Amino acid sequence: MLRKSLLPSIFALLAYGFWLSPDFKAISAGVAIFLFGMLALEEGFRAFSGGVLESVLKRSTDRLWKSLGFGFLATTLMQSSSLVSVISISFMSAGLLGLSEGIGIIFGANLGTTTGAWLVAGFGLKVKLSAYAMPMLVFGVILLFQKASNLKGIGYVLVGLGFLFLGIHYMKEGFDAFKDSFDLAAYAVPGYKGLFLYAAIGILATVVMQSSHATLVLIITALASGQISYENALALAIGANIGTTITAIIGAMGANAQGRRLAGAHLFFNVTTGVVAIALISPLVLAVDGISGWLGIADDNYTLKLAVFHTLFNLLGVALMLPLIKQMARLLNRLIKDTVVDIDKPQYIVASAVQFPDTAVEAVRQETNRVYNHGRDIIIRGLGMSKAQVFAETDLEKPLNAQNKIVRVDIDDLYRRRIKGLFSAIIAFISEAAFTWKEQQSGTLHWMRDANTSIVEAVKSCKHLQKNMLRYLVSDNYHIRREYNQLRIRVALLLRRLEQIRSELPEERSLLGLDEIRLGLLEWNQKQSLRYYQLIREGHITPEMGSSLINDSGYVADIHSNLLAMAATLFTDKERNRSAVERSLSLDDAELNEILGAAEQARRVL
Amino acid sequence: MKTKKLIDRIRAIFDEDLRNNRQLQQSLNEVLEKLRLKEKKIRAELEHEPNAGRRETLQLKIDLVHSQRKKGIALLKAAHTDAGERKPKTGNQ
Repeated sequence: MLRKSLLPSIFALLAYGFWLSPDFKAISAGVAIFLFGMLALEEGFRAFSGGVLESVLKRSTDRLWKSLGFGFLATTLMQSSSLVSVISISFMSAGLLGLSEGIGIIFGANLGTTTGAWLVAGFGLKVKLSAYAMPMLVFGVILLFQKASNLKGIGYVLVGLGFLFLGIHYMKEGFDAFKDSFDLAAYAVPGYKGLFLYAAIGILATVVMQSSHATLVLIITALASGQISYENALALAIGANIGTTITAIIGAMGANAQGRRLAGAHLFFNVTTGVVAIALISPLVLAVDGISGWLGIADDNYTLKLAVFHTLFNLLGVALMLPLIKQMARLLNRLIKDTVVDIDKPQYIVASAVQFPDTAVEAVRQETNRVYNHGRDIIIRGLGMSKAQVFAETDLEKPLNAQNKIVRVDIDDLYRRRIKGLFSAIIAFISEAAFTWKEQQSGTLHWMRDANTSIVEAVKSCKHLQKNMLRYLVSDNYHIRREYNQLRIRVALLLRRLEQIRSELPEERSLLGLDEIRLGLLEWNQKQSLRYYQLIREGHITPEMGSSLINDSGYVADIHSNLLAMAATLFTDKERNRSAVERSLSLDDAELNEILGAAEQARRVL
Repeated sequence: MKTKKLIDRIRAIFDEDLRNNRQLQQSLNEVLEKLRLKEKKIRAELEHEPNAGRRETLQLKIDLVHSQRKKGIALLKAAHTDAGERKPKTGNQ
């Protein structure tokens, strides 16, 4: 109930906020665009995964100094540590980067961001990221329309970056209204109290302006005009360093647990560094004076001294936290747990069963039965049918033909949750057991492993079949709709027949009976191909529809042959000798085709 | 019990290959008998089936079971040869 009312409540609250304040609307739109950019960026990086990008990233982050250097260089070039951390989060979400490497990059980015302070202090330069957003979006969208997956990937990355910049721009626009209310001199308080207060103001200002660079400009201006003291300016710089993590935190909202852990590492590092810097403010000020004197910076050149301070305290932070990277990764792994997905776990196979061959074979058989149950249900749902329809002893054609709405289910997701865990556990168990046993039981386990693989293959074929089927089952063209219905009826009838075999007494089951189904399939396949050509010839379906049908009837044949291969192992008598004999009497495709050929000849003679 | 039969049984106790061969023959005989009965049953059905389409399907089933039996009988002959025995009776073909 609470879950159901949550989304409408959020919508209502947001709508009220939008009506109340246009600035709130701009900020929210900024956050939404920013998150959308993150998704596009992830999609883009995923296009490159499994190839060049992984090897480049691996090579440039395989040592701590390398990931530090990578973060430093990237931030120096982009002049935005937030952006580097956000990109790292999307790398991690796409599985391209590990947590330790990501933390290294974040540390490097914190050092890289200090170059910005030097640029701001030395040249008053401020890189305006939003100016790049529009061209990036245009180039990105053009690339999205390209066929080559690499170009598409680059398109997604550009569109992602464009939206990130645009999002930041809107957030800034929205917050502009609040900007003028920052009268830095109004909060002048001496001592540690003042330091903490100004650090807090620095955090707030950076969150509002979405840029630590902008805060630095503000600090330098206030410092130059004597609005704030040098110590308070340092506290503001510390606050800006903490506030800059907000972008990563927003970015992590759309990321998985790995991404959130990295954002956590970013926050942890910057807060710890900030607290240490505030605690050691006096020695740090002395050190800044010493270094400034050594660099030839004038005593009253507070802006450059601020840059020295910024670099120094970030260096201090990196030096402090570097030895703790592993502990930090462990802590974050413990604090931020992976989202628990409802995944099926094995019920019958336990480690101790490996010692007892017959028990283990039976356990694997039971577990494989579960894999089949899940596979069967996925196939039924994937093809827009229900178990009640398939297993009722009634005609299938009428209710399925009458169906005018088909709900698409995510076969990949169902496979991951219902089958993958069981399949992996069975494979692991069999690999361990096969080494320790006599040939006889190992042989049965070998068949069981193949039976599992066959179920997985059948589910995969169903996934391929689903694509066109869901489209054509609701087509206006009666003929294509009918043919696709026939395809799923064929699958449903097989499942129904397999269920009947399964319910027979074990001694009555014979895998030789499965040959009958295979013969029926071969005959059906031959007839179907001729039918499809006829439908194309008579103009009832387009050649494109015909080619889809031919491909998809191939998937139906794959589902059949895989499920029959599975049934030959799983549904037959447990008595090994008889099973082996039946297997050797079973006819192969060539022998079945011979029977069909002879029948056809006899028909012609008549 | 005749001496030859007795020697055969004693041989089977000590010879694993022979024992396996005997088991195979036994299983083949069981399966072949089942197939023979199945074929007979479908043939009886065919005799009383007036529908042409259904007759065609039944005939196809008979052809299938018959091919399986032929394959089985060939295997049984090979098993007998392996065991150095007389050829089996193939009258149930």
